[in-house]
Amino acid sequence: MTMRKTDNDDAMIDALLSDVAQEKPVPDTALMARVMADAARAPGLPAPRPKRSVLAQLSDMIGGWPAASGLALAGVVGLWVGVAPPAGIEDVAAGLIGTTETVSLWDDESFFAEEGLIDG
Amino acid sequence: MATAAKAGMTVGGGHKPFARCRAAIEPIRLVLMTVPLTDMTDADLLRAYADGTMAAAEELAQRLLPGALAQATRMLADRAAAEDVAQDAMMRLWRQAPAWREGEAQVSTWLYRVVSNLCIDFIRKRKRNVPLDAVADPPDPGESAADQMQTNARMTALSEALGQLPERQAQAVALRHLEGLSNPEIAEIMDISVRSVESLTARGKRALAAVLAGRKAELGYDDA
Repeated sequence: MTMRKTDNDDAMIDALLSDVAQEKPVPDTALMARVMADAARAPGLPAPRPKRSVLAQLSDMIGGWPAASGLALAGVVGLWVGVAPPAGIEDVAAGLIGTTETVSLWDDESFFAEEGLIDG
Repeated sequence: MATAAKAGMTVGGGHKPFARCRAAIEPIRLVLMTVPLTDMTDADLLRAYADGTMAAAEELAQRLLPGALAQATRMLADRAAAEDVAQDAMMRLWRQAPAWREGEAQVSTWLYRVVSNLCIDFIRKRKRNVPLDAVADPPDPGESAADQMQTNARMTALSEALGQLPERQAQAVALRHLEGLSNPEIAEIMDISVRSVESLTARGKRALAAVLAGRKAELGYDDA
């Protein structure tokens, strides 16, 4: 602040108020830490919610790890049944939906030969 | 803290019957509709904090604490006391968060009022107890020792003089001439009419001039 001349009391008050208004203290880290500590323990708030990764949020979407493990088990069983069906599973399928028989609607060899898609 | 404060998040809120539905889609919403904290209003941040998002409180503190500390320092001329007042005001804000109502008031307006009231209370108690001369402020490295002493003397004189004014006059003068707020803003903060603000500030300034009339030379405002 610099020395300044004033003409009357009002001018002095204006100058004083103006000078004090220029004071702009900055909060230090200690004060900020105190304020944040207060925020963390203020009453009536839910427990702080930590930031969650996208993977964790997607996991939440499908119901968390129990649902994910169920999905994984179903996938493994499906793969197993498809690749190496247990004995008798075809009988069960036949009993439920009847026997299946594969019928070709055209002669594969002549069809591909005519189209020129296979050699010979 | 700044990095955490800039992390994306969204604001909650809604009707009770849809609470379970909202909870189910919340993770999708968080991923797809993130809003940077820095783009959120003070009220939205306060609601997010009330929902448990501490990063929102950090962003609010970064925005509001400097102003609260500055307001208290200018009125009290005492850095330690100003820090206590600013912390107290922020604590009241945290407590108010769960009950904060949409459209009630701006958070900054509310904080001006709280800091102002706390400062007036402090000045009144100080007038009865500890003389302000006994309080030392930390030196500002940007000023010379002589300038710092002059600054402290002026701030102390003004704070003491505000303490001799009627409370409403002191509040109005401080908000108008130290914080630079408009009369309508002060009217909202003090919950009075604009005409009353004009009257209070005019009378307050005249009272200040009367209190400080004999201290021109001491404060460096003489004509010599």
